[in-house]
Amino acid sequence: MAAPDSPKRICIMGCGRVGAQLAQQFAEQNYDVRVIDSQNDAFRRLPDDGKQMRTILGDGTDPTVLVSAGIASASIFVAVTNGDNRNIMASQVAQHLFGVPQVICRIYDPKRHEIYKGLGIHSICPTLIGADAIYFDLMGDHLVPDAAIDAIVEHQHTIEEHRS
Amino acid sequence: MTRKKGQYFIIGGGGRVGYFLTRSLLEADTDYEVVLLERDEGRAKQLKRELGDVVVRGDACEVATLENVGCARADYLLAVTGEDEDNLVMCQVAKAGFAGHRRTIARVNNSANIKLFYDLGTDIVVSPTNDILKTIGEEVPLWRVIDITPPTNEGLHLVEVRVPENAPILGKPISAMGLPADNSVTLLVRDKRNSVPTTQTLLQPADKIFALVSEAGKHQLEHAILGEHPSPRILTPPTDE
Repeated sequence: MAAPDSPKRICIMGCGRVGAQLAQQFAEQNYDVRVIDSQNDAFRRLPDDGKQMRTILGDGTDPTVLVSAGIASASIFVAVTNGDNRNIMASQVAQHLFGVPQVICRIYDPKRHEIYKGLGIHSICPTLIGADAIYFDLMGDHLVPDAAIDAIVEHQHTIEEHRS
Repeated sequence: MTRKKGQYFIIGGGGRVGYFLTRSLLEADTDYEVVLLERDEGRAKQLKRELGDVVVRGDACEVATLENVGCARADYLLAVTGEDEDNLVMCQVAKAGFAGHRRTIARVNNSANIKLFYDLGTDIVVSPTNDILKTIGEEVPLWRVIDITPPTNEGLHLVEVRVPENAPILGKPISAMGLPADNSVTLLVRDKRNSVPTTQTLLQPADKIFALVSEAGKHQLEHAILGEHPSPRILTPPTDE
């Protein structure tokens, strides 16, 4: 068990643009950041001054790799590799096998996003968010896109459930 | 595509397993309806030349592809690609995304994923690695507890283990294992003879036992038979650093 005053741990699977960006943002908030990727080359995207950041080389759908990333005492797990199925499987491993309190999964395919929402996986669909943003921009309506609102509302729910 | 009466199988993944499976099913019963989905265009063409119209090009993890081949009326979905994540998602999408009931059967390559697949709703999980290990176990004793069946609703499953020379339980009755109340050692194989052990039975080296155990019971069994150095497990203890 982590000591009460130790920083919260976030495990990020996939060190692409989004993964690296998230890693930096959470490191700035003094999180204990663990980044998993199957390509060593991917870690070049991380900032050099990365304090509180550790990299783990391996396939994040493999429970033994997740264990070596310290998932057992992680507060957050984020799956942002390029493969929808990889993200989905890893998120379910994090949620069901390791009971990580907050799990977020990126799913590009809107239909799979919908199905896994129904199965209790908290997912973000960049396709819907991106398309909505462009659509509203073009149609002269500068309201926040629906998909983004949905994602934020859902995220709030997760946080509240987690707190209660 | 020809539509026949009888059982309808959708096979996802046109590798070697998918190919032979499709062929076998078509040969087994002319009433079977079979569709083989293959994502790669070149591979799909090649399969089509050999197997004909049963081959459809498409990603079986996508709702649209499954819709196209009428997943809602399928009796079985067989997920047999070489990637565990694709097989898992295929099974879940085929169940959660479509009305009606169908059995989902998945191939797992990493045998550590067997339990996860069952927990996440796959009906039958086939692990070539585990099957080969089981077969080897018949020939050469493997010092590990091998899962024989998936857990039942009560959370019990059948396991098999061989008793090594230095098993901590030697000289003590089976009751000394301290298995949970609903767990039991159900069969003892000694010198190729089967018997049903009691809680007072003493085990000997080279015995093979089958036991009905919970997860906790399995660990206890492992401890009593294999001692302090059982095979590495995934979940416990969480080695953090």
